[in-house]
Amino acid sequence: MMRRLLLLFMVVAGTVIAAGCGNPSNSAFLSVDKACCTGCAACVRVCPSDAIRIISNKAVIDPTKCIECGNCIEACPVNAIY
Amino acid sequence: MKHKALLISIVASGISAFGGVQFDLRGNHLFTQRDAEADAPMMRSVEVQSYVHAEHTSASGLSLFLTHRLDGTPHADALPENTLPFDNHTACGLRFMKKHLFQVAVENDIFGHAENSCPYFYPPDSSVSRKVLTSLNQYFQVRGKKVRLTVAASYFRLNYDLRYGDDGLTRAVDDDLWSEADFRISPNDHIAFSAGTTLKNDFNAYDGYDYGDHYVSMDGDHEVPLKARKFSMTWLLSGHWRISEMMYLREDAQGPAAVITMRPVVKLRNRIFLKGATMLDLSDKMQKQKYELSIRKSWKNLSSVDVGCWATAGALFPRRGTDVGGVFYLSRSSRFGLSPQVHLFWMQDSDNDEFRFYRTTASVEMILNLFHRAEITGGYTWSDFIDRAPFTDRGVISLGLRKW
Repeated sequence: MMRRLLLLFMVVAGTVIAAGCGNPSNSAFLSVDKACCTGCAACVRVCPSDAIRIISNKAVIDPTKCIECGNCIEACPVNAIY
Repeated sequence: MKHKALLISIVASGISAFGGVQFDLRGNHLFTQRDAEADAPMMRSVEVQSYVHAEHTSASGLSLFLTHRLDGTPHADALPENTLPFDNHTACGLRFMKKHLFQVAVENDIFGHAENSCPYFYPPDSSVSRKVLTSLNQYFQVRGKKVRLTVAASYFRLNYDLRYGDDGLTRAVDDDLWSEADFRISPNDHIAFSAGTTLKNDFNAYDGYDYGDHYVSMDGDHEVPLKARKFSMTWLLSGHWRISEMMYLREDAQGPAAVITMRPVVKLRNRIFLKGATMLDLSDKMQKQKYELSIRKSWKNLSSVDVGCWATAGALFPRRGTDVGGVFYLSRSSRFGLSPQVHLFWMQDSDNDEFRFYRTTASVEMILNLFHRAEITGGYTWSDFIDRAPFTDRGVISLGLRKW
């Protein structure tokens, strides 16, 4: 079971890395890794376009208002925005 | 004098009514270095960071909670990256939790010295300054043995000042409704299937600013003993359909997408953990990926050291970086403690070798234990930013009181 899980993980990760790297996207919006987000609102304070709300103690980025400045990426103390 | 005594007794009785009160009150002396790149002069300022949370639960399962957070400085330009230098946040609500969960809360943020900005969705030659954000939130969850239904909604009202060129000031409001519905069924303890939707309605703009994310997903968590080690993994596979007219106009990745998340953790001997994370968001216009690998060593006294590396591809800023951090609790007595911390963060743009960003934070905190779970803290923190405007180098001397 353990070996199967590891094998599955490596196959999926390897396939996607091979397929994705060197395939630059022409559009991407910011996502929040909710497992890491602590809801500290540091990203809200640096967002110049009011595109971030804290809902249920997690940051939520409004993709229609985000101006992609990247300030929230740098301000996040737990590296939860990418 | 009588009024003061009455006020103190009211506050004291209010606090005593809330069994679980926790707070962290901190006053900081903040000083930043002059940074030509960020066009920021040297600045000295006081800064307040406070957090108070009180909760009272009755035997019937009804809870009343109150949270207050104050964060900021009276000098608007003390921290150049902060568009909201001062935030007074208050939240209070009721939660009823028996077999099912129902929660309703009102939240309010009062912003001071908010920076004037002009995001693209406001008219050209205008500037916006945020003043007050008020929200009404409700959360309802029905739980069965194998099924769970969650319905949540948050209504936000932002009051802001709008200036058109020289035409003077206009007070305006912006109303958003974020709503979420999720149905989840778990045939066993390790796997679950979900379907749901997240919607945002913007009432003051035209419909193009509405957003919808409809999804079906499958997630699980597994734990496998492996000789003396233990392997665990949580995973998520989901299919999304994202709808937004504005994202379509901006040629952002709306439409169908697949999201895959895997988080394996191997527990080795001597409190050493090997952790990985893979996050993928794939659609016809987007191949967003994030990979992390880290190792953590912890000790019984909660000290820990983390070393990790990570990379993103296809994201807004494709990056790679290294993150090294450590926190050490040094104590020889139950009354007094010392806690040095260091955190090194390095990041580089994958497509641009010239773009690098380093952040180093080093701090030391002294802790004086007053009584059970209450202590006085004092500390010094230095943060060094290299090549990253508008973040400037800064030092903080802090003194605080906390209870948890």
